[in-house]
Amino acid sequence: MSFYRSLLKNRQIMIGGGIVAVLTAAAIFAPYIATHSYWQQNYMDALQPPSTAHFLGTDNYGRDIFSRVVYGARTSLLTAAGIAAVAGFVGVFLGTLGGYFGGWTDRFIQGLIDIAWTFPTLLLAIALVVILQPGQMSIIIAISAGWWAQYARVMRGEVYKTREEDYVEAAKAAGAGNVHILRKVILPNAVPSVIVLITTTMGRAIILEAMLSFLGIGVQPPTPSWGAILSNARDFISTAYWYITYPGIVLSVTVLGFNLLGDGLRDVLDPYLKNQ
Amino acid sequence: MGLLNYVARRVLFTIPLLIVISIFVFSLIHLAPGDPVSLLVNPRLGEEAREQKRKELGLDKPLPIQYLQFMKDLITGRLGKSYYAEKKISAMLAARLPNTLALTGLGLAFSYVIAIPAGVVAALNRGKFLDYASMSVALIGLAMPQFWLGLILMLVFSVHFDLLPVAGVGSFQHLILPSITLGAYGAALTARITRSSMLEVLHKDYIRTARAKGLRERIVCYKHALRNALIPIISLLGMRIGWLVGGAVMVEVVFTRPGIGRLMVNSIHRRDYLVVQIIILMLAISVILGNLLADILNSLTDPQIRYN
Repeated sequence: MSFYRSLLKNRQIMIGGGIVAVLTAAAIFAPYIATHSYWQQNYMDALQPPSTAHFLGTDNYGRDIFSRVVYGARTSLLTAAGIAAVAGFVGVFLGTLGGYFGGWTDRFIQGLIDIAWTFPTLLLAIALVVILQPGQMSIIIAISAGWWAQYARVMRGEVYKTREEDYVEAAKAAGAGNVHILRKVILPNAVPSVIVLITTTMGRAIILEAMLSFLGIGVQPPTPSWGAILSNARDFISTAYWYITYPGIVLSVTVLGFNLLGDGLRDVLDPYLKNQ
Repeated sequence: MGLLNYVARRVLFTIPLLIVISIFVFSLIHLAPGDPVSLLVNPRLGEEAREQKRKELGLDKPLPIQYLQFMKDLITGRLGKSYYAEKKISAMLAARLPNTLALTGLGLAFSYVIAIPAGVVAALNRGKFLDYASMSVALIGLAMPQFWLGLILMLVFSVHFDLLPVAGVGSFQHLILPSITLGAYGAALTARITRSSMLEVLHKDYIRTARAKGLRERIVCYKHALRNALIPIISLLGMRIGWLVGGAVMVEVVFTRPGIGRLMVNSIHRRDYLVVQIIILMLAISVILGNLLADILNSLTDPQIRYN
């Protein structure tokens, strides 16, 4: 009970969570929220400033920017969730393996973590997208290829910590198998840390997707994505300020929401990490 | 003894890392879709001409031989010609490298110049207006994607007020907005770390002792506290190099600066994979060596690292 109360009392969690909830709702109910089609072009309406007909104005093809931003939320959140799922699964799996079994398994996995850790995420992602061809799936794989290491590192530490606990020893003495101990004892202990890591990295994942799409090697048209919208808007920076401004504000507020939520959750779930 | 041992181990670890990464980057060109040769030869000339070109570029040899040749060329600095531009790659890089170095250098300097005073002021005014103000700015800085911050700065200072050039290179004015853009994320992060590191140090016993001795508050803060608080900030320098390199790519594209990063992105779109390969490898190596250097510097300031 006091846990939920501390969640509700934390301002960062309330504000961040609110932003994330609104964005998630927009992504899910995009067809109902969007006022126009996100792809239909209408040259008569090209580059119109914000009005009651077009809340955020129109782009150079006369498409409604508000509707494109709403659908873009779908792309962004889905990609970020995909990265969290793939990187989280691989990282948790390898980190647990290394931390639990130790020895050569651990040394090998630690080597892999070090390699993934040193290679800058954006460079690795660019290299992989070149091989895989641009697209949403490629982005998820390309970013996860470097990011699983964060999860593996946290997981490895968590498993190390709990491996030596008395209740694990007790479970072993009682004849519990490795799989049972991992699933029922060690993994549940690590859940808070993994949740904190997912939320704190969500914002960066959204930014990375937007970066790749901005460079033209991310999500490909006609799928609307915030990065691609801004890349196109750059060409009209001197004629249509709204085109470059509003989609970027939505993108930044989304990232801010995830960052606040992540910071808040970290404070509540692990007070000792607060000052790190 | 401990220090030499640590440095030796750290250097030894870097070598396999460099080999793994060079093999990965080398395989890029073979894993990338499409035959690189077919882009270079007039399609009407047929298979024979393509075969000729392949031989010319050494693409007909077995992969391990090609890899060794690639590495030999890299080390001796004979990078070959760009498939697309028909220019020597080494000349293309040399023309752009100064622009990228100026940008990253100034960006890094900017992030520290802003962040450290902001973090110190926030820590000294904990819970007061200045603390909230600087930490709110930092939060916003962390949430704004670099490339969008660059576009907004461009919109305000170049398009609207016409104070600074929109894009390109040539003068110091051209560097101002790109460096701010590049340094902003690092500044936000460093300010937060400076603040928490300062707060931690201010509670240490030696600070209480310094105060009890009757030293003036200013000397306690700047001479005793800040000096110790800087250690974790310096130790993050290694990580910063990776972000700077990635950030430079984005900033160069936003401000159409002729630098290494923009050349890489343009080469991807032209399928000029040899140039892409060389740049990715170059940037990766500089990040790895930067990390190595930062780790060694850290072990000098903090002996504990050596024993972990």
